[in-house]
Amino acid sequence: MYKQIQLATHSEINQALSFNTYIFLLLASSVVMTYQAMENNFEAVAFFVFCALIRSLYWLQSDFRLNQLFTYLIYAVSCFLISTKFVSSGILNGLFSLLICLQALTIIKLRHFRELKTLVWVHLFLTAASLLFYLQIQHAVLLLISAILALACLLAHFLAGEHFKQVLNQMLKLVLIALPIGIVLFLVMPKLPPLWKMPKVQSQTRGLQDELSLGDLAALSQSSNLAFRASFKDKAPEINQLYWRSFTLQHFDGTTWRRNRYMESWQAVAEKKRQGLKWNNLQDTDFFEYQIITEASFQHWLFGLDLATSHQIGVLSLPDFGLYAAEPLTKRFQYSAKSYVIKNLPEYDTVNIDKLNLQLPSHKNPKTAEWVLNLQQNSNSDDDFINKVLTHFNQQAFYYSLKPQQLTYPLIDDFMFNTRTGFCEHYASAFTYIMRLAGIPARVVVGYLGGEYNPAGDYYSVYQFDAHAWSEIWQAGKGWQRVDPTLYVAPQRIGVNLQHAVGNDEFLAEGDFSLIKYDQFVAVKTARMLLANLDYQWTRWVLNYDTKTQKNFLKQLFGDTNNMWQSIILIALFFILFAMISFFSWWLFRAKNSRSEIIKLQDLALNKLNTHYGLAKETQQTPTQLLAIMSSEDTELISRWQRISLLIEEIRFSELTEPAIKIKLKQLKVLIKNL
Amino acid sequence: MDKQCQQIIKKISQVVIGKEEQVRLALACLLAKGHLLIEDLPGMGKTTLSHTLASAVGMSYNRVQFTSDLLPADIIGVSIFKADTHEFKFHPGPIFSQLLLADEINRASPKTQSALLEAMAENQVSVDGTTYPLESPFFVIATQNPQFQSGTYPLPESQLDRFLMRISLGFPPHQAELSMLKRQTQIDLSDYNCISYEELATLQAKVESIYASDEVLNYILALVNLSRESRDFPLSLSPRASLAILAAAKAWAYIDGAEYVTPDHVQAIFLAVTEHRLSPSFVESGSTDSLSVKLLNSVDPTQI
Amino acid sequence: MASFIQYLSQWRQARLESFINKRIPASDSHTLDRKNIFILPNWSGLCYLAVCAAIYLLATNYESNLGLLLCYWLLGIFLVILYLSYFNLAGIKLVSSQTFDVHVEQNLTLQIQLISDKDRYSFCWQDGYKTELKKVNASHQFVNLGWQAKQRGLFRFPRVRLYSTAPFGLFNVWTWLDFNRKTYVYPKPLTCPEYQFGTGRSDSEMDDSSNDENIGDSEFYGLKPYQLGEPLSRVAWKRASYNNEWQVKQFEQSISDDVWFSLAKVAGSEIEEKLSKLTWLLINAQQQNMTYGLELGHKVLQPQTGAAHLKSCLLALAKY
Repeated sequence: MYKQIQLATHSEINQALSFNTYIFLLLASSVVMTYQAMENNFEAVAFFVFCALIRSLYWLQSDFRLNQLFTYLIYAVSCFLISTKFVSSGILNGLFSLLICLQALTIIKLRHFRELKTLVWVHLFLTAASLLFYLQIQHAVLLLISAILALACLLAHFLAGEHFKQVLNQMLKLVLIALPIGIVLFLVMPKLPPLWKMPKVQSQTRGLQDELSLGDLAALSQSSNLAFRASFKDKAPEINQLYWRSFTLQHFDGTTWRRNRYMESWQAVAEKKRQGLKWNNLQDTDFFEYQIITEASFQHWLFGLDLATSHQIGVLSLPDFGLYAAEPLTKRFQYSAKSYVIKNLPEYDTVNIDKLNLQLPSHKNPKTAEWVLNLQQNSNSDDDFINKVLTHFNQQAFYYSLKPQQLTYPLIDDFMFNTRTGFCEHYASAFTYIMRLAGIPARVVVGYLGGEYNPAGDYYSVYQFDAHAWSEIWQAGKGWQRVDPTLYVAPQRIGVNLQHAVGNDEFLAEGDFSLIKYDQFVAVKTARMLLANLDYQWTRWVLNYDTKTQKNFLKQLFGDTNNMWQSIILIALFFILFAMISFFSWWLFRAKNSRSEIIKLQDLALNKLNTHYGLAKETQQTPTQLLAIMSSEDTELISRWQRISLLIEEIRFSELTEPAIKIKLKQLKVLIKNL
Repeated sequence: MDKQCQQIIKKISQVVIGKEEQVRLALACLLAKGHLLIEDLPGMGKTTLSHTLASAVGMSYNRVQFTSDLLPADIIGVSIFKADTHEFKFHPGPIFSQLLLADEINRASPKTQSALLEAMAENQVSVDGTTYPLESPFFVIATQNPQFQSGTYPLPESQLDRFLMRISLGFPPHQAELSMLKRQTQIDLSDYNCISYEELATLQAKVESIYASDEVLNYILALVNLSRESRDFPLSLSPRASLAILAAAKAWAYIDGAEYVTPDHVQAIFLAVTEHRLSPSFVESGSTDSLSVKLLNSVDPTQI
Repeated sequence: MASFIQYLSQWRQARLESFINKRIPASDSHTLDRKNIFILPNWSGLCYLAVCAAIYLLATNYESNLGLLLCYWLLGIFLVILYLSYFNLAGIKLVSSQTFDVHVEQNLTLQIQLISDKDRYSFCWQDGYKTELKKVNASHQFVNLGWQAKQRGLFRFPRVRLYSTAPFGLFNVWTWLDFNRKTYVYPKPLTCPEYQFGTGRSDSEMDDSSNDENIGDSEFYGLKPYQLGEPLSRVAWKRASYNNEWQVKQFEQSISDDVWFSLAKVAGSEIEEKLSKLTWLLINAQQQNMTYGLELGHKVLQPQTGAAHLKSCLLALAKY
């Protein structure tokens, strides 16, 4: 019967964590840990999951305690994991592994607010680390949500008795108010160059590889991943002229095309000394200007239309007309380029042309050699010979297919006279080989062809399935000329796109699920284009918002003012932002049911009574009871106060309709004014 | 003030002189359909008040003088074997009436007390496995002597709660006692009947329909919560207590002639309703103020 | 050197106190706003900023715009949390209620009514018990701040610190409030049945009038359980012989019989002990509805009865 007298103490701040808190924490961790697991930290994440599971046992058994031996074991395991990671995958992955193990060790001992805070801080850092690798908008949104959830843990701890919806609601408001601050800071804060050199991010290369076997591109074209995007400044070339050159391959061993030593030495110079080739005397020709945003390929190859030049730092020209990045593309990379329209490209190093581009594999293709010899005898010039070869491709039963049959050795013979089915690299290889047999210097060019125009964003998206290979031949006086033998086999591939050329069944048949396959539905296509545009703008404005863009943006905003004015405007802007934030935080978190008018009026009346007549109210007294302490001589005051107290009583306690209350409130106001 | 009620109070006050406040509380208790406990020293007019009140509202009543040898069966009734029919026949006790006047309830043994109080709580009695319903409504007005007197068994805390109010009369003012002494004639209680039992029922219905705004309910809750949260209160007010406060405040408002309950009404009945629930043992050691007064003084009714 | 440091800290303390007294004057009710709320990031807040800095470094060195965006956005959240922490306290009205007198070693309670128009969280008070409220509601809520009464006499309720780190634990928001309340602490009652029917006045002629004689004049009133120390002459032996329960015969004093309690007459080695005994005697006398007077040295309270009289008697003891 006697109630327990509880002495609440501040140690309750360290009370057990609420269930909500724990759920938020698990949700947040699951996102970041998934990303970390994908980034080669699988063992550490598995360890974390194990520890989280053990921690979850607390909910089933409140008296759960870790056994001492087990604790040591766990420490040992984490030490082992961290050290092996440092040794095997370098500093950066080792560091992340360390942080994940730290999270694991903290979560297993998670009991109090202090540990929760440690978890949240490290979580935020891990989120930022994951953002280094996953730049696409959907990943960014997911990771940001996980950061929000982590912060919601802290809130949920203080709102322990509340429903989780209320916690989320508060958190959402908070996050939305903070967003403009973050964006403005992001837009106007000066960006610093990297402060010190960091260990490089390592990953598998993606997209085109720098060697080409027959069938490689056919495999790549099963992928609907984005390769890069291009937006032209003024005018764009025709779609069938969008031959995006990446690099050339010159050395053929009968199976695989490779870069030769000569080109590799140029690459080494570009990487180490950051020196490339300068193309001169190009000013008077027609040109296109464009911007390209590549996906992270972890390679150096860039893309350009012939003949591409760029003034961007880190983007270099190579003698095979390709653009080359001095650093591997570890994330989306944006550069601008200018292409001069020259039909016949000049050779930089004419001395070595024959040596480099007439190389033949030791492995012979006798049938093809005989055929070439025959054809050459029947041709009166090189041009005639080339035409005859292309006509042969066009008129004989050659097929264009994403799924060519496996070739047997000698490969070119098998392709030319037996299977006659192939993808672009088959035709490019065969043609180049034939040209070399005939003594015409030739090489294979690898890149992409075409692209998908996105009218909303006015740019072209080039996907991996747009990968293409073609040939280039050199003739004295004419220079390098592009010859695309695929054009003579499957004209739709060049004129429209791959989907048209191979048909819907074969297109992306073995690749992952992709919306592109369902382009025949208008809604799907519209949605896909919309998402693609969103991602494009995201890349342009967020991912690649650099110092230059920032300068332009600020210039656009404030005009060409001098520095002082700009800083004054910026400071003013900050103040306005500050005021807005204060207002919004007050407004969104204000009391829902503000105290009613009648209470305010009542307080006013009581205040007046106190200041004018010196009648103070004791805590328990009601306005009516104050009549008893008024001196009986002051009948004027008594009658007034009687009316006031009666009105207050009626408004507060009787059953009145809204209009009646309004009338009485008005009367009360007048009475209080005259008091 | 409500005319009918005023008349009743006036009539009773002719018998119980100078105690208008207590008479009013007693009437409020009746109108709120609650049981009443009157506690005071012997000879202060407890019995007179209860008898006059009962006749004023036209209730049929039985009176039981509680003594230490009183058995539960004496109140509830007994089953007697009838030889002619070979059956047990239930002879109802004094509890089967509209109003039971239990004089000096704390002189009876705890067993008898709890039999009565259980009947009060359940509104029925069980004898030999058969359940007999009591009159509806059924009231108890009990009187008791202060607990430090010898030969008494204090009512347990859990059962004190069953009484809506506890009032004490105290010495009459000088003038009132004088007029009492001057009065020579014997009082005939039947002269003091004001309203019929049916009229009482309508009055009770009217009391129930008195409006209580959310503000007033919050005020009651604030008072009640305070007793639960504070270290100073060994006992806290139960939800039953908050219902009791509301019912009594409505009755007081009705007697006052008001159409709605205000904090003034709550304050008027608060001590009578809560004192016996908060401090059963009359005076707390060392404390000079009653706990109920403490509660009232702590909550500002204008800030609800 | 040590004394200098001590002096310095004392000086600082004094400066702080005078600053606070000026800024937040004592009052029985306070409304929290800009003037009386202090706010600073705590260790967790600094940790949060450190994490932001770490993210900034990581993002800058890897030229990750998303990392920068996250960092700036976290800074924005930090700013908004500053406001939220402030609004968690700002706007609440705290009204202290009347205080009650207590005895030494009892709890001095300062009851505060919290009038809030919204939900607020985690109110920590630095009173004697480190009271914490997890949630303050829009409806009425009371908090009882307690201190142990250690010394007899006037007790001024000290300036109490109210602080909160809600809703994120990143900021300490606090205020020092003086509710301007005082109360009297009475001596602790010490059971002393031998004088329960008065000690007589110190200057009275009937100095040696024994208690028994006093009782002899009064009428038999009733029986009550025997307590250790009560005179055996008054035990009802007849009753004890058959139920083995010792009871003491009590005698009703006629109203005119005034009982006097005098400090000079109470036996005791120390003044505090004597006062304690008097406290018990006074309370006991009031419970028995006696009419009693009190003599404290030169101060004399004429015989009377009632709660108000008891209070003035106890007050006299507290002030003595």
